[in-house]
Amino acid sequence: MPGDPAAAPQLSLVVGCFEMQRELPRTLHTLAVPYQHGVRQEQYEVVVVDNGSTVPVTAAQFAALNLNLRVVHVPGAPHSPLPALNRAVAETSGGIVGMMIDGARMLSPGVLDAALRMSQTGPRTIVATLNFHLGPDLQWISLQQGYNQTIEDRLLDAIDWRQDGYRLFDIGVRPDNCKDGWFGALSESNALFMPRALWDELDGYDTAFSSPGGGAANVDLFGRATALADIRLVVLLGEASFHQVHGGVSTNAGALAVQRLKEHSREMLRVRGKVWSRARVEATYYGPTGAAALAAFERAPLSRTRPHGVRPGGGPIATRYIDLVKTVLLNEHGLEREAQLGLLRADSAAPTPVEITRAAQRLVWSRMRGQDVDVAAHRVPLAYTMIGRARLENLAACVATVLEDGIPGDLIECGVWRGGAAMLMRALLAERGVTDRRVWLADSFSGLPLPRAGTDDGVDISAAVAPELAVSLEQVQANFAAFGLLDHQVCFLRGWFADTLPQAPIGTLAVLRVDGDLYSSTMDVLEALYDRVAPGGFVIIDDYGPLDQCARAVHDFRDRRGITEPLEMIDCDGAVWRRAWPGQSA
Amino acid sequence: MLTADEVKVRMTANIAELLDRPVDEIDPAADFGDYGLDSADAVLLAGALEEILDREVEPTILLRHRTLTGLIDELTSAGMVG
Repeated sequence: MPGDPAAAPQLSLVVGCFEMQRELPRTLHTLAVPYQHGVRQEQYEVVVVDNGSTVPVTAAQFAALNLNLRVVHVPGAPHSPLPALNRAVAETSGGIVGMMIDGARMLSPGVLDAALRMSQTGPRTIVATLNFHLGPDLQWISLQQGYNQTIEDRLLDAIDWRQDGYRLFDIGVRPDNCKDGWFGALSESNALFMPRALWDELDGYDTAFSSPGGGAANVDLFGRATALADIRLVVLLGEASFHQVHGGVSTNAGALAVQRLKEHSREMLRVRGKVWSRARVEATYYGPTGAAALAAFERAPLSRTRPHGVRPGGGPIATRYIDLVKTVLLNEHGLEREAQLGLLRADSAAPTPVEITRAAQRLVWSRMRGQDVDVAAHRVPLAYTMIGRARLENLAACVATVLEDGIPGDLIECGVWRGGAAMLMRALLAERGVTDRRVWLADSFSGLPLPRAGTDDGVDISAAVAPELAVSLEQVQANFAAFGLLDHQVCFLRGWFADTLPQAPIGTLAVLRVDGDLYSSTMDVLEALYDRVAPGGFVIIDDYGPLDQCARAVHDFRDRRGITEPLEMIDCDGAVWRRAWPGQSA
Repeated sequence: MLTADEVKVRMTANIAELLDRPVDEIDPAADFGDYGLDSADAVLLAGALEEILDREVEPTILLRHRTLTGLIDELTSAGMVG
């Protein structure tokens, strides 16, 4: 009971929410044991402050989570949740106050344990986390590029986050409170922990901030907290919060988000007389707290200041060969030049060295996840593939697995662009001296087809609209030849999938990589080739995440065929499933 | 209407605050890119400019101009500052 010292939990975690029927259940799931590791339910209480949602939140909805949960209802849906949040903290008794002003943010599994441990290291220790956004970029950018709740649901459904919450790092790319990586300066934290005495010393949120949602008050709170005397700021590594898109579905949600950010900036200037800035305080870093958190830390793009492929020499020459091929296919060795060219293209003035360095750093991050393509802006990477490091590594792992498990068959990519992914497949066969398998490339070699009526949502990215997606057969062959990989084990199927694939002289396939974007292209490939994929073989769908019509084709096909093998996201774009096979371990 | 100089002084203070640098290190003729300002910073500064001018400002104005001087010049020729 609140106020009863005998039963007082160590941590009182206050979660703000308004109209979050979709988001709050996920958030609360991430706050409960066993999702949260290393803590016991009785160590903390969760207080949801429902700021007047149309359909009020009830604790009973979440009984199955076994959370020590209370819901506070704020009548009348006031603009600002701040008075109610302050009141909620005052009514709790945990020695540590945790504040999540935005209930749309899911946590990774080690946040509460790490926050409890670190909060106990001193009376003036505050614990902060990075605020990641789900999706391929910060949501106020990605929303303007087509990201939405439907895509987000699809990504979340295909990572089994309830089982392994660190997989959120695979579909959440950048934090909004820290632009320079894990060790950069923070502007705020959406899961913030501090001793109750410090919360009282700060007098909680400053209710002079009165914008909807609390405006810049969270930035202000963090700034004031980190400016207190003798403060120790601890930032968690390999843990984070992940923001779900909320606030209704609107076609101009991205522009609205920019508008909101601007208004928050105005309010900060009005209330504090200055723009918001990042905290000027030294930080201590804690974590990663275990193997899964370490892996998450390492694969988060922002962990990298250099391209993924850069590594010390040594090791078997065959491994080094494959590493080099991947690096060159992704142009990771030339990112600085690529950044320079990009800046020159966007602006005729010569870019400054600082601009080039920053642009190259952004490329390091976007190349990790293959987020370099903007068809509308005619922007494609200066690389042999646009799938990025994560999907290229997945492809390599799929090929290695079928070879090691003795899954028979050839390898195919349908929709090859410049051929990079298929070149890697050929190189992997070469590395292992495999001579009895072939690599197939199916493509029109003249760009994408016109959208098919009825299924393709009218999306036209044919050569007339997107010439940079059309790469000739001769060019792809020249690319293979440049790597010394063009030989009889590489076969080309030129033409539309519906024309070439049904009759293609292909026997069994061990890896089927589908990169056709459209519903019709995706379905044509699956119809023609799925039955040729050996048990234990892999089916990779490059565009499953961002493209509704591609995902729809996959769902329609899997439903029709009764395919139940789990579909898993590789990153924000690609998904993969493996056909069941007799040798499969349970 | 605020004068160009008044706006310049206040925006210099804001940029200094955002970058955590002393005001006297902010050169109005220096390239924004060289200070490492990014598009999110541009939105924040657009908000600040809105508050100063009390009228709507598109964040793109900060991306179009590479220097504070250039920005103020546009505001002047648009009749937004005196």
